[in-house]
Amino acid sequence: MSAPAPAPTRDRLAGLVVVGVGNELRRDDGIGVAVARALSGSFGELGARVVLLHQLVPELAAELTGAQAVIFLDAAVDLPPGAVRVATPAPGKVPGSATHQTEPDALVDLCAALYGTRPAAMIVSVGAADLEAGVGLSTAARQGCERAGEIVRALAEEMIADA
Amino acid sequence: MSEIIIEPVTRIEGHSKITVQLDDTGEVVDAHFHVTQFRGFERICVGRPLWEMPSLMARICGICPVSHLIASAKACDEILAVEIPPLARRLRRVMNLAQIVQSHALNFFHLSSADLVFGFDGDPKERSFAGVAEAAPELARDGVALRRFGQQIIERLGGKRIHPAWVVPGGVSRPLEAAQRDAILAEVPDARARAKRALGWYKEHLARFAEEADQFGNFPSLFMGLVHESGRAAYSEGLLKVVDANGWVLADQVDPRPYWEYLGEHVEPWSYLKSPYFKPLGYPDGLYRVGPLARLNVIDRLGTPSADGELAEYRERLGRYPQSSFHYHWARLIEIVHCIDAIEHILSEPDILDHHVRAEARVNRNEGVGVAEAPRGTLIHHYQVDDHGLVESANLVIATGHNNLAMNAAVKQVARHYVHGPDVAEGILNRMEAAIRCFDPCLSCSTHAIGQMPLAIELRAPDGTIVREVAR
Repeated sequence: MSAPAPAPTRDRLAGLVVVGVGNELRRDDGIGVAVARALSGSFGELGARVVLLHQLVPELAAELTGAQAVIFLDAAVDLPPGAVRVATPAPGKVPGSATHQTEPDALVDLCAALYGTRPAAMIVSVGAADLEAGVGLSTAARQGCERAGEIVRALAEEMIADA
Repeated sequence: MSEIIIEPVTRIEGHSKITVQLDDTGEVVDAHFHVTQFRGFERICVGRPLWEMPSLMARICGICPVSHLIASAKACDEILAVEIPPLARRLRRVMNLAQIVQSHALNFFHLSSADLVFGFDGDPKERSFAGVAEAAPELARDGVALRRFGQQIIERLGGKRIHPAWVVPGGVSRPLEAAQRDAILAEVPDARARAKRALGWYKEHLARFAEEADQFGNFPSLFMGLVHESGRAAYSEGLLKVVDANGWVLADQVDPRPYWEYLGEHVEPWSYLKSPYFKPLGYPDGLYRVGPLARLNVIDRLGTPSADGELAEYRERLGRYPQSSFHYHWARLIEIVHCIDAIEHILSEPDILDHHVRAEARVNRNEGVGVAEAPRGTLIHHYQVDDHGLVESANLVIATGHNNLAMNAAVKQVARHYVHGPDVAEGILNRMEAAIRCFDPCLSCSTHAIGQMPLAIELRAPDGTIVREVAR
């Protein structure tokens, strides 16, 4: 008889912020929000903060203050539908811009410049199949979200352990 | 004759360009601010149910969704022929004030402060909000925090910070909860301190920009805004007031709903943005300005003590009716202080958690007009519906549109002062954009991402050929 699995340690993910981005009225554009929402219950119990956003906004930099790690979740149009990609934020197309919409790397830079802390950042993207007006994810996107959720769980543990 | 084209205009919300016409001696003949995007919202509304309109209209813009939400809901209230519960009016007001805080913070800190920190001739590589974060981190932190303050209130009330719902025909969809109120009130002191610190910073640096203040849309015009019947500021309700450059009152205590009686909408072939004008003076003499500068000119007082103290200093230094559009910045900061004060005042009222927040009714009229003050100025939504509540026509008079004539006049003034010949320095181009930025135009940007947009200047010969091109 094997020993029971160790009980989850509360606040184990306290240094983690998960940011789900997307417009749920454009079907698969809401992938990031869907994955984040699915994780919010279990991650919340472990102390992580889960933020759901229509788009990345500059004031999110303030919410990253003190975070050790941040995972951005988003839809991707350059991936096959349902495929999952894990990447570090690349320098954005809009260096130095931070108005009503910004990009992950610019947010992390802004956080470092303003608050002196730079959380480790990763982007988990899922390929979108349908970005037309409407609610609900495509079949491929739903399957991709499930895979992404598993990947984010493992990634979160790894990033916090490395922080 | 040559032509200078600045396209797109950067650090504003939307797509536009500036053209400057030069004569054969290189002097400015004319200049225009063109809005080059067309979105056709009024047409999209046709056939939609009345009940959808506030949420649908909030989608017009990712910066000022609450303004559209409130103006739309007010138009719907008219069609329902209901008087919404007084508490619902106050709760709507809180959301509108929060939106003004976050939108003003976006303009001042994120879009405009770089010009003030680095100067209009500063290195364009540094002249951004990221540059401000490096050079003046406290100012940048205040900007981030103030925008977050406003956005969090919107999220707490409306469920999300962009495109919230909650404001509905007849009132608001649910009462305020104690936890929501307490969370907002707990953040007020920090927000107020940050707003006042930014005001202090601005006042300290204003003297450095005397020339710009003298040239950025500094001309006599009319000013229009909603005013409470007592003379204090009104943002979600109020009656219309129009004054001229000397403070003469051209209209006061006017019901804003029959706007077609006092506003005309002129159309120019070179812009998708209409050019409203004050009808009694005709086009284009009926040029007027709306927004923070105009609001501070039409009101007697703001109505909260600390903001009124700032208003008194503003008037002492600039005169009772400041004319320069540069002073939109100062007015904007004062309004942030006032909105924070007003939010605290409203949320501290003992009955704010009451549950009477919505009037239920069916369609009782076929037409309704809703008017509110958006961050950029007076916003008008006008709907006609059939007996089932399906929209048959819609007309939206957007705050940015009211300022169209004034923005064009401002661009021309800046161009005439700074441009002499085809060799135009980058700092001069920036000044032309900055004159527009003072007005904080919002060109329907809910799906638009501002980019590092190249600024192109084209000098055109009379036959249209480009004789010189400069880009940055």
